[in-house]
Amino acid sequence: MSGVEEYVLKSNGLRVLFHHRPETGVVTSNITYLVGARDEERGETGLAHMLEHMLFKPTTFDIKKGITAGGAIQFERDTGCSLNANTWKDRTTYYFSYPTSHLPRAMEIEAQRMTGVVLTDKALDPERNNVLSEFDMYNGDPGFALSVQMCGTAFHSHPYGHETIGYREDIEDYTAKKLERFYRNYYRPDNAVLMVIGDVDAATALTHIKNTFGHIQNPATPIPRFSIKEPKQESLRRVFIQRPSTTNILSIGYLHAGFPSEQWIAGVIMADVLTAGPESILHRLLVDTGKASGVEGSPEPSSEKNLGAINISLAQGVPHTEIEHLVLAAIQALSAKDIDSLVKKTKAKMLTSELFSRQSSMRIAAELTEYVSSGNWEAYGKTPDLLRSVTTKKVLDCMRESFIENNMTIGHFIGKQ
Amino acid sequence: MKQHIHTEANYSLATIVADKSRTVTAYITVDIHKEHTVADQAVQIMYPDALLSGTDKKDREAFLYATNLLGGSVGVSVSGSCVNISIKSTSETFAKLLKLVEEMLLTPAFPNTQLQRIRDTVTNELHESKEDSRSIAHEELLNTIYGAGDRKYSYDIDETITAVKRSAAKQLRSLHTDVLTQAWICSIAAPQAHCDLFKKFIQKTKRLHSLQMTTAIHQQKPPKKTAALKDVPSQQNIDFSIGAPLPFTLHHPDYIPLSFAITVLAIPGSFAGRLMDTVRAKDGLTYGIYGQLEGFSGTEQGYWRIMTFFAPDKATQGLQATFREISKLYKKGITQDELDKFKIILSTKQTLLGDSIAGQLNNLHSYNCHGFTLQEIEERKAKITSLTLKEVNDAVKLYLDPATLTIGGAGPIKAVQKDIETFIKSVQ
Repeated sequence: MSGVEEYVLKSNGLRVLFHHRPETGVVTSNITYLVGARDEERGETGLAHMLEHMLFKPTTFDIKKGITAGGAIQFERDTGCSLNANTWKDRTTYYFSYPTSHLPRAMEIEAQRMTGVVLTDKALDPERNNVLSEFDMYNGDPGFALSVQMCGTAFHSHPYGHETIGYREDIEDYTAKKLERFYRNYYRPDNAVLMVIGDVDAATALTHIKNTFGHIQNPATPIPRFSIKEPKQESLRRVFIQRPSTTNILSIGYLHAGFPSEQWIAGVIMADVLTAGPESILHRLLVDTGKASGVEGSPEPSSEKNLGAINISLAQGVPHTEIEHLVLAAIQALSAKDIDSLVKKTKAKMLTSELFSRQSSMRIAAELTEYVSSGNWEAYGKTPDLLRSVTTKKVLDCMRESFIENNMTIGHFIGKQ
Repeated sequence: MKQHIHTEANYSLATIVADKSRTVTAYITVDIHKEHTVADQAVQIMYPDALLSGTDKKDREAFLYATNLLGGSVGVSVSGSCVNISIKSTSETFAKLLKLVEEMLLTPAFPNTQLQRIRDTVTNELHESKEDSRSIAHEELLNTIYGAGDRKYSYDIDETITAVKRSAAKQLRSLHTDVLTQAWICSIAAPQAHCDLFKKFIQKTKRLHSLQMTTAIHQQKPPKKTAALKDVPSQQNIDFSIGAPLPFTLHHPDYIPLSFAITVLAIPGSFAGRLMDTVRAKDGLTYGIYGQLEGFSGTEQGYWRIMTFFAPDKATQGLQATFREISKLYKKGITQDELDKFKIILSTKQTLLGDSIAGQLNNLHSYNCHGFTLQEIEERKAKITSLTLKEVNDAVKLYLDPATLTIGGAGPIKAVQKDIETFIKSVQ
């Protein structure tokens, strides 16, 4: 692969990734701003995500045209295009999927949202309530609540220590002024990557991009960046949460390498070997024996070292500590021979999965986004080869390095009935 | 890409011929509903794990390993008393994977040695589902709409756990016999040679098992203005499923106009519906609020449902706002502008299917499950394009009376239960 071409708009440095998929009649465009939860300060957690919501409100351009719903939402109502957005540690992403003829309008809306978002307290208030509703939706999930506390414990200094949605208390304190500062700092051509994937030729796409984004100037100020090194972890860290619930979760967190390095891929294979499917090590150890109702774990892509976790939903009455000791002892005892066949099947599954994920413009854009935010989009085309090159020894080494005391944060969610 | 549906008495096969594709996706759906006892519910929950627990030639571990080493996947699930088998692989490995599927279906072991493990696993999963407030709210609604013999009815979780503990291998074998002898609904997206191979496999399997005709129980109840609420104190929000039974089946002339009206009210996964514009964007009361017609088939009557969630302190306000919009729709109908715009929206959704073979296959399989021919599919799409305002608003007037609605809810309900019960009584 990859069939992806890179262009840079000379006037302002906007990077463009283009991939042609003929005969589908559909284009997906995706703009990824290199700003996410990692760029937020204490007391302002979740600001990147809140701003993401505000980009669906009417811009100054919409107001001039009398569009009350916001340009993006009006686009959906007029045409039936698919649209959405999401925020993660290192990025904020907006996308549309539409019949090819709507490309000019999609580009125009994206360009207008780069400079014309209206941030007033009046516009903010109802949307803040929606974000609080979203927060409560996530926070009702014991696994999420536990992961928030574990991230905060695993990172004492690095901004990966808070979840993308932020803390409820911070969300309640947002002001339009805070959002405005964040917007002006990070929403600019030289901090964005625009992807156009689908049934359109490069010349046409680039013409529309130049016409809509070409005039936007970057601010004279540099893009603010934190450069924070997490202090060395010296021992095992622990988190306990108690809530009225019938659920009991043991979560074994470990720091893993950034995406898309070879170590990251080894870590994904390791998580799969341990938790994916009935044949995995921990499924056989815990689920097949009735000690747990489920095990799962897969690291999320982020550009720097981050916290991954093996999450175990315990069966009724099974103590957290018993399973914790059992799991860590079982992982310690694993040899290359024990995991070799599982590594082979995981690699085969992942290679097939790569083929499936490259069969729609929406999925290609979603996957490419993670490479873009890691700062290495070219790796997108190299992943299958990298995957093939990971050996059982590398996976075992990854296991040995992951589950040692000064790399782990363990969480217990204790349901009180 | 060329699409085709071939129908015989004991199977139908929909194909999307994708000669350039390097992957294969195939589905088999089998409707096994006869009656719906708690024992049936328990065995249906256990069946997927049991079917994947080995064959006469391979034990569970060997079977799963052989499947996974091909890089493919074989998924088995049961939903609404329909068994769904999905097969996904590269085009290179499909033939080998299909052999394994054949082995799984023709010579499953259902070994007693696995039965206790499956009972324990399912019991643990059922205990965990006691906090799934979204599903519980939906079940509370469905149990108001359907009687206990209907496939859409859900038995109490503890009752189901007791039935799981009492289950025997012979019940699983009996269910599997139903899977083999009932009509198969199959669909595949693949290069032509792989489609042919899949067809041969279906024909071979169906030749070995004669078609059994069965009578299925269906028990829809009249509408009931009530609140069916369950306390799930661990949740932060209260999940709601608000709906009412509809006394017609999939092919009734009111189905498409009414479905269109619900799309205007609450199109799933979109910001374009009225409820997203009002209850979410203007009122700021929820993160998401969607709705659709559900549970219809050629022989079974379905229902309409709005699904959302509110914070406990905003629950009554949220319900009031939701019912305000439903009431407005009921009294005034949709507008000409909405009719025109949503025709475009629905037409674009069809165009967007062109982006992925998977999307096209899912759409085709869904029609195939309901017995549509390609011509009938086209006629249905054409009917949406030609809908009139009168057709839609007549259907709205006939079926969307807010005073027929049940509020199914689950979450930290105790503090607001009385308010919600008082509210539903006040709805006119």
